[in-house]
Amino acid sequence: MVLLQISEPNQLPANKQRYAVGIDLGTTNSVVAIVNEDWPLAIADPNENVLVPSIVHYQQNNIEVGEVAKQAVTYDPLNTIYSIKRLMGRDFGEAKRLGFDRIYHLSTSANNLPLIKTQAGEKSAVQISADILSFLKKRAQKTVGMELSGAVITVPAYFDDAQRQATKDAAAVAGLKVLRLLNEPTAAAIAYGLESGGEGMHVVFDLGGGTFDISILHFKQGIFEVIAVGGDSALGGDDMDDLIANWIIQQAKLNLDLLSLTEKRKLLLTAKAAKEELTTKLEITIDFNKWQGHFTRREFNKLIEPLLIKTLKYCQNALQDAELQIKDIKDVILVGGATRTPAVQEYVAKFFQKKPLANIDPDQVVALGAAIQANALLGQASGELLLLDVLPLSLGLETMGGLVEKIIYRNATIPTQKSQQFTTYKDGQTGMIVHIVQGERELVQDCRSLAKFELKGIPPMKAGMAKVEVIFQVDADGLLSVSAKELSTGIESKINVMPSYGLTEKEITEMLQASFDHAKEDIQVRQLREQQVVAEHLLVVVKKALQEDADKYLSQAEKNKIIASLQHLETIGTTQDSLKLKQAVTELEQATQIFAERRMDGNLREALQGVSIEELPHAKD
Amino acid sequence: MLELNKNYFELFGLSLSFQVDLSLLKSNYRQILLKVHPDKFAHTTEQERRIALQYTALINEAYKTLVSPLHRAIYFLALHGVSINLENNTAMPAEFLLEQINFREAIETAEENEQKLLIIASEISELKQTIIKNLTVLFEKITEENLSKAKQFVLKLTFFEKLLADIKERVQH
Repeated sequence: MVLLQISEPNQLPANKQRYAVGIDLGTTNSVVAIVNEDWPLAIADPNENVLVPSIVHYQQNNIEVGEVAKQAVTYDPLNTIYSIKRLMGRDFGEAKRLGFDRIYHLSTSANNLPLIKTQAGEKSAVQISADILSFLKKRAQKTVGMELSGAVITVPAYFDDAQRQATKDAAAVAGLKVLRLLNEPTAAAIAYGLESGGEGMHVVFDLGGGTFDISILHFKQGIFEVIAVGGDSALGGDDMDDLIANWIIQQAKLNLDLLSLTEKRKLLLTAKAAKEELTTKLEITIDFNKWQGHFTRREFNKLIEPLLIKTLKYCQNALQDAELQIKDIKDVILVGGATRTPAVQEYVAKFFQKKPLANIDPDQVVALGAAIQANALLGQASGELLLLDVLPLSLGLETMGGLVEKIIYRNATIPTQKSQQFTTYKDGQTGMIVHIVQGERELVQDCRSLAKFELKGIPPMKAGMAKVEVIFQVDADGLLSVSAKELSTGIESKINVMPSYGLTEKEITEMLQASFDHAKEDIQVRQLREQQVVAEHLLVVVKKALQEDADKYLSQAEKNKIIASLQHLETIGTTQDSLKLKQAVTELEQATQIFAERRMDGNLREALQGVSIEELPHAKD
Repeated sequence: MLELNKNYFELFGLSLSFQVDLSLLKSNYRQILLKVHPDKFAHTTEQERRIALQYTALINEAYKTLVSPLHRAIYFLALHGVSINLENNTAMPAEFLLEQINFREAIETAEENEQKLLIIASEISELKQTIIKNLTVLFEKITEENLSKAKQFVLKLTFFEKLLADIKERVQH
């Protein structure tokens, strides 16, 4: 047996400067940021614009994104898509309810997803978001001058499983490796946490264009722990615009139904402009379709008061969920363009009895926090930083009579898991259907259907004898996965997961393929390259682990087995056959499984030893 | 994954006792997560991330169990061979059930009145605290009799928790 060369261990790729970006994929605007020399920075275009309007203009042979696409809204509205985030993870019926059918021509996909008809073909929300992400990726790569090592993409804390999955799919189509999906308020808290270094309870009040999120976070010893989240995925600055638009309709004595599409768009733009003007002025003049009128901040505040009271009710509920009182809150952070509205700041200040923090640009703060997290995930952060997020909405199962039985409750720290036992109710039953839903309501019809899957291959037994254990696992991104096994025989049952929403595996592959066709790049070349990177990385990590811990955790025989697999992968590393390479990677992973588990055990024990010496005497919350 | 086979108390380096030093639990929990959370392996391999995910999911579950007196008590009983089937345990003393009915009625009559609801909640919380004190005493000496008594208290506790959850929902609505 040839001994492994360990005198000169390979350098970990982490040792050379790598770049991962933070991306705020917003409803109205998106921002991409990086950390350079420990400092986060939003990346601007040559005209110093940091904000990229989340708008895509589809031409027959070209795709425009951002500021250029925004111009097209007026002259080519049907092919110019905005606010696509509102459609992420939504089905066709919801798209109609959100009014997308009034602005675009819609059709449906096989899975009942809405597709927008453009002159470049039918586009799903995932595809359109992917086009925005590609644009941001290119902007960042141009700035750092190299390929990105990954991205942290932010989502509203209130995004459910389907919306998160759609965001992740969009990143995959754009060729971005997602290091983590991060909740927007958490990202904002990181950006402020870094600045103030303040330990304690922080509230993030995030009122964006279309969503409202309230989060309570505890920051201590480098750990950001989300204590409670709440909010409304259909409440935001756009609602203020709608209220003003309705006010104009009333004042001008117009009939909304008689307005053309172009006029409706103009009405909304006028309303938005009025809202923005009122952040600095007390009274303005509005012009619309030959009508002219005065509009005061006082009138505006009165219009939006019910909306503000609603946000404060969510704050109250979040405080109760966290079992906290207003006096326990150290800081209140404002995020989202709609928090620029003076009335919002006044209401928040009054409710929390302190002036909210808003010194970081609310349009950038989320992307900046995401960039800090992305850098930390690459192992490049200078200090300790760990985020503990929570599940925003409860996960439950459909039971008899269309009722929901909750299995993992909202505000549970993630990752988490829960196992549940099921039994057969008929003699010889070999299958059962499990329906997973997300939401707080008692009836299945009021919750979001996440997935229906079939447990097949249960050995035929008398009713009630077969015991099937289903394990629900939620990862750090808040995404659910399911596995099952029959307990009395130990048979691992095959699970067929049929997402109720979202794209099928096939649709994603097709989109990926299409993006490569467009970029004239070969998908196979790309896959091989990715596989090679994985293999190289694995080799480095395993060698380093062997060097550090082999004597501690492995017998000579175990060590030899790992080395054999390792050498096999090394010899195969230069192959052009991505399938062979993948096999060798899997083989080495299997060979090192026990080793990796024992090392994790060691980490755990080490953690407690460290504590017993330093922390025990003064351990305090 | 040997560490994961330990019971929750051992996992956090605590002695097997119902009375838990919460600040020590919290502090140990944080220290462990800093070592095993999947985000700490974002720059290493898929395999390590998978293992880290399993560890962290279980540690979060274990922490959640120990931090709540009710779940800790149920877990503590289970470790001593006493299982509680929450669905099929309705044989409660008549006097206790009467008290429950009274609370239910009080909640119904309070309707949406937040002030009234919160007063009822604090009354229930006090009863809850008394039960937890009783449990602490019973669990100090593990005998069959004590475990059986503890089981009754735990069942009562679940009733109170349900009432409190109901009140919270009404207040938040």
